[in-house]
Amino acid sequence: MRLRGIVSKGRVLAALMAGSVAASLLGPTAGAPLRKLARLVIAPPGEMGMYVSTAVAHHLQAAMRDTISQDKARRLQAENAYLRNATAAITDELARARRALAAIQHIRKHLYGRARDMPSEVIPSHVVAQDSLPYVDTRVVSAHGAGEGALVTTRELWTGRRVGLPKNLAVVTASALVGRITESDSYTARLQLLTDRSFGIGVQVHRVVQNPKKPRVITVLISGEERKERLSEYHANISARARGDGQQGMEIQGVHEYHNVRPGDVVLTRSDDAAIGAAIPVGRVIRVRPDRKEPAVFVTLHVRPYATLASLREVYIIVPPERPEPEGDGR
Amino acid sequence: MRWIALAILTYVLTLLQTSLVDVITFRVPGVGLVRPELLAVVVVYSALHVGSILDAMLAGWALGLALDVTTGAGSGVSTAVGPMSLAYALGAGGIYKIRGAVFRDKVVTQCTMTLVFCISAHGMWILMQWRLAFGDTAGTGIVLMLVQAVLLAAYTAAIAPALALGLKAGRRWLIASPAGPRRRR
Repeated sequence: MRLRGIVSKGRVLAALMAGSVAASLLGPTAGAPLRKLARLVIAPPGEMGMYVSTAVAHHLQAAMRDTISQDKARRLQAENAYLRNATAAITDELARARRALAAIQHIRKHLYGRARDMPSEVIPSHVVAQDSLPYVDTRVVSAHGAGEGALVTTRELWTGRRVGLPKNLAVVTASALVGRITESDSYTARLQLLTDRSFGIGVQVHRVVQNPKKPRVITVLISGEERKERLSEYHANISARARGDGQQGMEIQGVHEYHNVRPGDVVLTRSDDAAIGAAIPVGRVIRVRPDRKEPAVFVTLHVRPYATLASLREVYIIVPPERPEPEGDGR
Repeated sequence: MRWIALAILTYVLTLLQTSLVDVITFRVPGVGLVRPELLAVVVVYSALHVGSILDAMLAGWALGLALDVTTGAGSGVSTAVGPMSLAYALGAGGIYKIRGAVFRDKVVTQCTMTLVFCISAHGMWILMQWRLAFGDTAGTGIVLMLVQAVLLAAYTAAIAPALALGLKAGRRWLIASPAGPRRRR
């Protein structure tokens, strides 16, 4: 009776409210253990729910894709024709690169020992839950050993490696970025999708050299002097920073207008990024609009991710190539 | 309030909220994701029907905490744990206070109360995260997030009567001593 008098509902509520105020003021770290526990509790049964929801999303997208207008069909046919030609050109280029690569690897193997086929280790994983509130675009993935900051790619594109793609190709070309691990513990990790408002990453915009008969003229700076030149593969890439727009894609702000970026240009991760070690496709530029503040100088690029994020299910987590060794005896 | 039943219901709804609700989530151009918020319906329903304001606020706090711990955290998307449980507890208390002026079982009441509750609780959560500003999210697109909250509230209000029907069916397992005329004095 005495305990019942002391632990009244009013006092419990007051204590809980005080705890909430304290946790709010202390910040995200104060609630981290609770969040980890919640992920562990939700992950196993949540997997089934996510399987259903991603399957439904996948079928809906497929159904929507089937009903396209005639104009769009014609456009796609034309695009297909162009892509077939481009693929043929790239295949030739690739064959040349493979031969060169084989020669380099041959030399490297003899000089330095066994060559690595990939610059990064990857951890296969799948999405088991999403965020309960729609204000952040994150997913919970089942993963063991994924470090914070590790980048995540779609899995289906990586399966190319299983069927024996040539060495080094799988990493460089056969994947699409979907986001980054922001929080990780024993069995689960939180994946921040690249469309999230606070997602940002250094990228390179690869300007596609489309039609040699109608060359794209760009401005290049040589020793501080501006010069008009035809776009070629030699200077097709420009560095930029992309961030999620909180909706369906990404934005790249502050790109010089004279770079003449156009819809269709490709956005890739930077190959010198220590977290990846390879240029992984991120998305495609779908719209270029003048900057709000300085419309004559800069443009903003809108990028549509290659990965289908709505039905995202299976992913690969890229472990940074140069991962620092843990201190201590490692046990 | 039957707390074990509430705990089970909270767990099940949180599971649905973090997985299957994705099926009925929309991307509104220029705004972002909009999805219903199932737990808010339970808070409103319990606040309209429980016997005391303490029960209503405790239920609100528990359901708010479930949302708090299943939403984004970490570098880049840092949000504090606590604001949603506070907002839900206060919102539940507010609904309890004004319930005497409305017909509790009417569909219009369910919709209106859910709309008001969601706008106030989510608005409070967004503003608190923004003021606390622990991560990039807190300061990014505050207006868009508030618009998202209004759309979420409208969506939740639209589905609230259907969920309330289910809660009404299981009312005696959820609420120990429903509000209303007492049988014994």
